[in-house]
Amino acid sequence: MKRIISCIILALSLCASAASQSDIYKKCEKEKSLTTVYITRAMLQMLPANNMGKMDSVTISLLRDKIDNVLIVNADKPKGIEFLKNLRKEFSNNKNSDVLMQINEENSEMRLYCTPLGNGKSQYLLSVFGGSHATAIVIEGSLTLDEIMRMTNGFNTVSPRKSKKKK
Amino acid sequence: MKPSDIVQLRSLLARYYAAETTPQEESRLRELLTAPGLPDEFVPDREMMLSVEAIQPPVGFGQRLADRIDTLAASSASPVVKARRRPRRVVLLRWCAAAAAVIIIAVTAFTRVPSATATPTPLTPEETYEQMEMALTLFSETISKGYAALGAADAIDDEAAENYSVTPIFDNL
Repeated sequence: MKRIISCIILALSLCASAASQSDIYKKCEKEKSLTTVYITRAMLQMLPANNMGKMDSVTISLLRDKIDNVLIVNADKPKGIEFLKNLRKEFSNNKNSDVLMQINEENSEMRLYCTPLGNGKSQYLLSVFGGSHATAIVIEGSLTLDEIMRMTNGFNTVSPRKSKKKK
Repeated sequence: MKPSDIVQLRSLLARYYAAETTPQEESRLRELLTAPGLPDEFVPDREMMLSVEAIQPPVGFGQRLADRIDTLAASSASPVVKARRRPRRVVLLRWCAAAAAVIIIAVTAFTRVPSATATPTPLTPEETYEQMEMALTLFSETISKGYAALGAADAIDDEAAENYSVTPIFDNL
């Protein structure tokens, strides 16, 4: 009897832990102090192929083909900012997550994490904390860091590396 | 047979049929019933008593019966307990299964059923584009800041390398 009860408790705890780890999106949705935007792959597929603004056609094609989903979370209230800090803490405590970039400025703090999900997929978290506002962006998909660089360089920046090469 | 014996015989028979006689009284009754000159009215009683005595239990039957009763009495506790424990275990198991089912259903309901606040507002392709543009801009700004800091560090290195001149120590000698 003890064995049966311990098996049931173990199974329930595993289910609970799996459910708690599986979906950060649902966690964010439940928090009312946050503004969340969740973009699915189906929605990205509906993006027009030709460029509409800053993004060129290559960037749009990467968005359509390589990204599974995107979660954008904004917080203006202390409770929401605290929630995003805890979310970032989960990533930093995760042994599988790597900190790709960490920038601390006078009033802002930016961190970029990457967590491999298996099957060539990764989860990127960018968290930006600045004063009374915080933003977290979670991108999941088969994107590599180079492709993210390609997308971000594709529309408004020139990296110092490139400028150095020109010398 | 004397009249007093007949009176005693009647009394003993009454007590015998009421199962109230002692062994001594039964012995006396047997003597009276087997005595010569027994009136005919007591003949059936004599046959009945002799028949009962003829079917006496075998030797040691009483002892074996007592031993058997003692054995059953000694072992009676465990079967009773087992008989009680088994239904209790089944009932407990059923309660556990029911509790587990309720917990699983509750967890499933909380995790699977979307709440009213979680109902997403569908985005148009234009809104999706704007959101993605904003997200990628933020990524871009962050990565650019990182590279800017790295570039500044590289520039300092380059300047240091250009300004650094190796002074031959032995030239002045």
